[in-house]
Amino acid sequence: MKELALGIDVGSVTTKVVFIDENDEVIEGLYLRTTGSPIITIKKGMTQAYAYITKKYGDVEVMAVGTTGSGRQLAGVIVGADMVKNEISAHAYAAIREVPDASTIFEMGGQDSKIIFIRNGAVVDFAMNTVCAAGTGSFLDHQAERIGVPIEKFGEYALKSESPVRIAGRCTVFAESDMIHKQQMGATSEDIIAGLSESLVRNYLNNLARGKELLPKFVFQGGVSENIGIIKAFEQAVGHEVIVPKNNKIMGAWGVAMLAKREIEITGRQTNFKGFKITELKHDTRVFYCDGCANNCEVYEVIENGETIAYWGDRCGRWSNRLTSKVRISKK
Amino acid sequence: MHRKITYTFPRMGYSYAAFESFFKILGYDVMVPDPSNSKTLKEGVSNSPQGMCFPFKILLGQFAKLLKENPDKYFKIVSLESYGPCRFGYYSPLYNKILEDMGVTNFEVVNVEGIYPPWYKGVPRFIKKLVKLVGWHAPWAGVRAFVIAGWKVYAVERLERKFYHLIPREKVSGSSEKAFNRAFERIHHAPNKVKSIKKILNEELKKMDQIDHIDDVELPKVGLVGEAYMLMDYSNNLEIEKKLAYMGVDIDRSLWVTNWTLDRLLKTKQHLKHMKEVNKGYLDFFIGGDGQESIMNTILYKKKGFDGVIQVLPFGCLPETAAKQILSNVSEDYDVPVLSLSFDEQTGDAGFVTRLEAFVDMLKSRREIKSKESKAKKAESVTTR
Repeated sequence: MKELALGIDVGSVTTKVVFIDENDEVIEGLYLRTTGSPIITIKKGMTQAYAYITKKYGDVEVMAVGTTGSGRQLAGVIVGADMVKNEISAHAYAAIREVPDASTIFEMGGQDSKIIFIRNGAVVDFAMNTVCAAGTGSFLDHQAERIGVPIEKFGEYALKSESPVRIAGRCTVFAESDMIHKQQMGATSEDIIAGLSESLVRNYLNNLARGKELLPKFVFQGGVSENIGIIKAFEQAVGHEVIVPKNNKIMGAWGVAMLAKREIEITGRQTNFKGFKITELKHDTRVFYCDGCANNCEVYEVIENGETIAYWGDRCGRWSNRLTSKVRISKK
Repeated sequence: MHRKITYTFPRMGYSYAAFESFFKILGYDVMVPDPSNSKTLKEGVSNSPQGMCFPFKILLGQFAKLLKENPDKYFKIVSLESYGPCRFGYYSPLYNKILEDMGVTNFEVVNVEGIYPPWYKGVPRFIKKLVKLVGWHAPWAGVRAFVIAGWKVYAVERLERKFYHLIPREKVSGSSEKAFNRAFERIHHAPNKVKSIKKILNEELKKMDQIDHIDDVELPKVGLVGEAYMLMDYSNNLEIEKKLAYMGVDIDRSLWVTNWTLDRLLKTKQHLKHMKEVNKGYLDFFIGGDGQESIMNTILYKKKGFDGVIQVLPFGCLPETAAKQILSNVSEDYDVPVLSLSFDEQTGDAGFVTRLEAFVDMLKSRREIKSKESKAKKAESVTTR
């Protein structure tokens, strides 16, 4: 029987499901759109991956499960995770495994972008975008749609440009009005796309790097790293080669799968994984306002087949302490 | 028209218990505003100027909700905005204007100033303001109320410090929280005698010590700096201290009601000395709010051997925004990681928890590197001998 570890990264725009083998190599990685309901997407991903794996290896056993991304808590409760880890640590772990002497990691996802500084194989500093959507995949997606270029071809278009136009990169609203203005003045789509890529990178470095020292090697990952135009813009901005690892889109899920596996190996625990049967269970979520005190907390309840499996959002623990053993997975 | 007056004031976290008893001892009615929640925030945000600093929106929302819910009472709102070229100085005229525009009239705002040097001018002015606030009382009654409230503030602070110290060390998750809640309630309703407050405090501290916990663990240490009101009130900063403590971090908050009032209102010598020496080259002059303190405390934390510092920064606060930029220089010069968290009216804490968790992970990995390095150095020195 093949022993595997599972990593799930529930992001704002996409959900990533990864299975790794005993050598930490990715044997199956899925990249799906989250589209409103993370629970359905997780189940869909697991069903697809399960079909593929059983076809390839026959019987499999999952020995460790980790979840990450903004939906990690929900995903962790639904699949029964051994490790619920923030995406910054997960991304850094995977990047260090792939490029051991990396010093700077650029990561651009759907809703957020981060920069992680690494020295001697350990995270020493990081920054994450705060109140701004500029420099994220969603913005690119939106602009691609507006210009009428499929997002997959965005990079190719940027490379064709000979003289990129300058576009304001501080804020998506200004960037968009600037782009429309340049377009009405007669700039070609190629030049606008190239200019947009450059301004996106400029904004990212201004916002997140903030004058900190950028040392090679550079690693670029996350959904946006598929875009060859942005890679070129990064290389121009830092004046050095930028490495895109082979699993660039699923690094977070891969990282958390490895972290969960390591955790299980060190502690020698049994996995909390509920098995592939969860894809057939019925999951509901409910939100209500607690009326216990003046705090009026927004409490979330997760229901599996009619039985509540998790509460969160309450400050005092009135609800979440009702189900202590199941919910508090390695919070410390 | 003489109506009975009800007092209300900014909550300042758990210290509200002390302020409440101050007015009660003097024989007044008092009502504590709700902690910030979605209702008060909505009230505050929709009625404030959009670019106003976040603490103002919080306070306006809390007061507006209280005044609206009790239209038959007449309130005196206590405000402590005595310093600063920052917007804090405009809070009370703004309360007046905005609440009146909202059609609420059953209130007046009383601004209590701190004691400014020279003391022979400052002290009489302070007393004058106090008399305006609470009316004329026999001096001993005022002093007694002051002393008892002071003791309660001190007791709550001791309990809170113990609480945050115990959380990462407790064996049964949640046991220290229970103990703290009980202890706080006892102090809150303690009889108004210094002796009994002392007695309750000692009893409860002993009880908290008896909670099953491990004392000799090495935890990453994090200091919290930032704007005073955001730091001191747990309902504004999404309970950042409790969250960090549950992640297994030893936390220390730089501003408490005690040291804040002592340092700022009385201008203690040590504070001034620290300000002058530590801030040299970074921020040599007063910019209002707690900007200078944020920088000073970051450096002091580093000197005390803390692993990292988190700056709690209310959105729109000018002194803290200025300090944030300077802190990135401090962070580089002193090799101390600083995380600036900007707070606004959002109550969803997903992004916030992600940053905290990643920050804590980073501090742990930095610790590991340091211990490895020091071990390697030791090994080297042994072999060279």
